[in-house]
Amino acid sequence: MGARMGISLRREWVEPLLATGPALPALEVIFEQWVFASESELRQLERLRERHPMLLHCLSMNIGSSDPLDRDYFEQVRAFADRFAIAAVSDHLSWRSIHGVWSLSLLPLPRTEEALAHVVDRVDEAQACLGRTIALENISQYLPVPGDIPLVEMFNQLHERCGARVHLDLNNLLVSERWLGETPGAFLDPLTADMAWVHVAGHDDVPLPIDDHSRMPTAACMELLARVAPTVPVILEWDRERPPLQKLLPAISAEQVQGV
Amino acid sequence: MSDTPLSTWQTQFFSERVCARSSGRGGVYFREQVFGALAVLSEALPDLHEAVGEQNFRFFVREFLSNRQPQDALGTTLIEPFLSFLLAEDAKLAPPLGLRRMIRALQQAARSSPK
Repeated sequence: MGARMGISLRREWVEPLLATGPALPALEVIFEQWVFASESELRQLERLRERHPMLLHCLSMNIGSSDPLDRDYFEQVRAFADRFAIAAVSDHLSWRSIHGVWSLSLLPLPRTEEALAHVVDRVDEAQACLGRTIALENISQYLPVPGDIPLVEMFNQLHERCGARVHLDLNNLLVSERWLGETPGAFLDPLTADMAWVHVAGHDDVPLPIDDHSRMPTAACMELLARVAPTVPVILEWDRERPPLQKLLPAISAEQVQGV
Repeated sequence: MSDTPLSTWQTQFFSERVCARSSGRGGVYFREQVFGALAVLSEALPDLHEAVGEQNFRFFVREFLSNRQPQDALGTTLIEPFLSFLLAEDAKLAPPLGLRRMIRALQQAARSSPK
């Protein structure tokens, strides 16, 4: 059995985790879910920080967009990470806006040298703003994009050229495989970039799944986890039809015994 | 923003794949917009979600998005426009949803909440 699993925190799990939850190996906090939090809610998060190693996951760095980086956003992220003494910060290798109009989805980048060079520059700028290196997550991709650089090579190059680590999402590899036919092995085998942490999740098992984080990780996801055998934190994401924390934590323990 | 091949491609992708309602594989990113908006709005407006009902809520969110581009990185600015949309839709329905008082109270709360 490998390392125990942490969770990506959702707001309704805060109080039960404070009240009765065990110390977790890692607790991921999504920045956007705390932007409008009150001071008392932030103090609750500080109490959680005292008990759990914390990772900060962001949704709006917009690192691949042609729009200018939003420096105010990065200042907010930096202040948050400083307050909670969080070293590890990630977002996605994706883009979300163009001409100032935002998507609610994480959109795929072309796999071209132009896009890669653009992201390298933006990561440099982001890291200077944040005072930290960042990690980038592989997204679920539903449609083909232009370019012939393998996705894994984009991540390897980003690590080599600007120090960005990979935030590996195993469920996203499986969802993308169903849409594009790219096998997880084609990503995992040549991966040389350092890993920051790993996401596992489940999705609705329909012919063309959406990355909806609607259930426990699939058997295929846990098999990939065993194959990767990460030495970095593993985080479970759950968004749709979330169970109460009291049900989730025992389920995670059982899953680990069977899967890792 | 410079006019690069990347920005041109992103502009086209956004217009054709994110904003346009279409069926089949090509419509997946529009459907993700609906999914994302449902997540944001149902978390922000749980009482309204319950009062309108799951199927109706999904319908209204889909209709709302088909007439409007999502504007906000954090999703939170979807709330007020959605409430206005729902209020306008309610006025067209016979019989109405009967939720005008609830929607107006939520609008008031949304306006006074910290941004």
